[in-house]
Amino acid sequence: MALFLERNFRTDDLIEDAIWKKIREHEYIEEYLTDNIDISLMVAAYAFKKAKHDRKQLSKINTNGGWLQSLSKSQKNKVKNEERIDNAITLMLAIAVEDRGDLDILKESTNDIQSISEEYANAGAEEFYNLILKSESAEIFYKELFELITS
Amino acid sequence: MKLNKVILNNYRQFFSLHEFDFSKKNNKGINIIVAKNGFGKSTIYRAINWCLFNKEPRIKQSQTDTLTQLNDHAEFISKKGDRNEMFVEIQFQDETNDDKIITIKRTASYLKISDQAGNMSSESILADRKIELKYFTKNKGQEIINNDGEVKIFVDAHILNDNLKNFFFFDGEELSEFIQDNKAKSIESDIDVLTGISDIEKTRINLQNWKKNVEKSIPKIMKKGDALREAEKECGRLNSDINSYNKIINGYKERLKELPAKIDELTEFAQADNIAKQLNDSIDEIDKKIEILEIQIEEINRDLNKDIATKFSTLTLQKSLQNFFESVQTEIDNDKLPPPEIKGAKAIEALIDDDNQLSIIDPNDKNKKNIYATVDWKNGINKEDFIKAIKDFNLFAEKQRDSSYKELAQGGYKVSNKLIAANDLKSFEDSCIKGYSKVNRKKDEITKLQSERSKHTRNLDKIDQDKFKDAAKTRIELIEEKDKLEKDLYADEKTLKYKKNDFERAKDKVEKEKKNLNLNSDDEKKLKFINDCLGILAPSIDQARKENLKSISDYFGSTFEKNCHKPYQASINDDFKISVLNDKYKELALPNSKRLSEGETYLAGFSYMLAMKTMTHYNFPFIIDTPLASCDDEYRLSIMTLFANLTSDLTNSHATFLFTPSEYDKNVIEAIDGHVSNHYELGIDENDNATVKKVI
Repeated sequence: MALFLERNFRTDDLIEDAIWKKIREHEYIEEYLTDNIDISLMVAAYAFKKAKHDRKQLSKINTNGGWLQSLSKSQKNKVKNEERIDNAITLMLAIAVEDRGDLDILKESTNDIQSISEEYANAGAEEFYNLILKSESAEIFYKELFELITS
Repeated sequence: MKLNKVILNNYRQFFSLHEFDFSKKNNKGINIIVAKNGFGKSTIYRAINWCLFNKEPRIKQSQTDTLTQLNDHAEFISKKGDRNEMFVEIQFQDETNDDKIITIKRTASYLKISDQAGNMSSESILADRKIELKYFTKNKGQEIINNDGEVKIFVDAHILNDNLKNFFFFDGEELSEFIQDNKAKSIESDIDVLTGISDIEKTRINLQNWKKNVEKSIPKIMKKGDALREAEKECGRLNSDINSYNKIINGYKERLKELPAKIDELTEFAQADNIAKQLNDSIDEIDKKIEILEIQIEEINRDLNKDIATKFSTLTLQKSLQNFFESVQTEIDNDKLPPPEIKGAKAIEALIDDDNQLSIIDPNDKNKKNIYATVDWKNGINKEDFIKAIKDFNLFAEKQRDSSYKELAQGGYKVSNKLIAANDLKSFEDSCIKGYSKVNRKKDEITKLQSERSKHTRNLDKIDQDKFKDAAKTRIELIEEKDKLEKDLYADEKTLKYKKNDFERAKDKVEKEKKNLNLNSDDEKKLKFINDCLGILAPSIDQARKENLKSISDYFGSTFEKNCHKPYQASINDDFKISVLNDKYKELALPNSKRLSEGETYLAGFSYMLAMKTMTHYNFPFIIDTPLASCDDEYRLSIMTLFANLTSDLTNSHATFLFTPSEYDKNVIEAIDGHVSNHYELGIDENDNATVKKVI
């Protein structure tokens, strides 16, 4: 089964260069995660956990947040990619349902479902980046994330 | 020396005893024997040679020893056990001393060992050979020599030297060939023999041989001289080597005396340096351990970080996934997935008003309507039909949406279930805690090591490392130097020992070579003496040879020119070649002998022989076999006239000619008429034996 979303993960263009780009290119991140969608979802998850219901509507759309089309360009990695896309969409579904409190969101367009995750991610990007900056090492940064997981 | 008599007994053709008288009577010095070929003429010639020199001309020496000398008839008629005696006896008279008569008799006795009458194959063996020379002198009376060697010496000295016999016994044809060959070497050799130069030459050759032998030792002397110099050089070299080695060895020994104390002095420093070295080693080891631990920590952290990074989203949203999963599960359980809300069709429906106008409300002013188009219904389709179509579309869209909703819910349900199952938070937490604990332990270990390292560093700081390091290095160098010196000393002492032995040997060699040189100094004296003798002899020989050549040449020239029928000039050149020049054309007639006639050649030969005879003191008579075979009448007359005059002029000269009947013609008879003292004619009997008839 391949879940289907129509567009890329969006970031706010106003903070794209100032925050998103720096997050993606920071050594703590770049060494472990290479796909934008993984990074975007990491930030979305961080934000959702840290500041529930604190969403921020995108003031200007940027589509660098990650590729989400279900069809893989690489037939070789098709299954693996489909699985990754399914995982990502499921995480967004989970955020959307958790955010709404019921499944009604599924009745709306998939764009709406996706927008909820995007809004979380863009709302928490700055804080996430600050966490990176204040961490003296990757070890400290990930320890923080680990504590967040287990909290 | 006069040849008086030749007696033959059972010698070849001459059966039993035959006596030929060759004595000179009334100054008539010519004897003639006339015989056809094979009648024994040349046998007499051979018999004289055999008796005097134990050799027969033109007969191999081996045949002389066989039975061929014994008369066949004598052997044939004898019986088994009989002894046959064959001998040749010659009697000479020394004309300078009439009292001196010399008789030589050479005898061979044969024993008949097989006797079968009438059988020609009967055999005899040589039983005995003997020689007997008798001579009589006034003072000593008769003396007899029986020894072959002594007889030879006597004959050489008093009768005719073996080397000279070819000048007295010769054959006319041989003489002609000799002249035609005109060999300078033969002529030179003849002159040397006749004049006695050959004897001096022999002395010179002996001296040269002696010189060669001495010189063989001279090079040795030279070599020995070289060897001495070489040995002395070797001695000097070895002595120099020994001195050098002694110096080096003494240097080694002095240095070896100093070294142990110096090494001891540095030992304490070396120990301190050793401690420093150990501390440094320990620090290095700790640093290595720390480095390894740090790498290990980094690796663990990297794994942890990666795990956290990749699972962060899923694990953080674990609860949300759980909620989502449970919600869908409830819907599925209640079988009521909510219907989708259809918005699109209704919106479009709302855009068409009753006036069949398509209008869109201005979003800024909801009360304001913008009319975009008026619907012009065609083909009988009206607003109701259109609304109905939209409603149908809306229904279709609802169904589609319902389907999409279900699909999304069910898909998400499956994935979330899978994610929840795959990302067990508890086990992840345990794994991370375990990783961090490991990191912490390793960090503790590093801290401990760093503490130890600091301790070592503090201790190390107390030691003046540079000072000790230098001292220890110097000490090691000194120890190495000591080891090397000890090895070198051992090797050099060994070499010195060999050198000393070599030196002793070289010294012995020098002494030996010195002795050798002294021993051979006599050879040098000998060489000097020989060289002195040769210095005198060689020019004397050359001088004598030149003088004799001139005399012979003069005699030869005058004899030839006097008897030659043409005006030729004859001489023997300095290069020992006979030369006959045509007086008119000054052309060289000889050595191109073809220009001379046979008679001229014979005349040249006889002139040469006579010239040679004048150079010797031997007055031995000529015995000439077939002297004129190829001469014409005129030259026969000339040559025989020459001999007739010669024998009558020279009281001691006489000649015996062995003529064939054809040679003995009227010219010869005319030429020698009145000069013949004895004349024999030889015939042959029925037994093939020679018969002798004395005519005069």
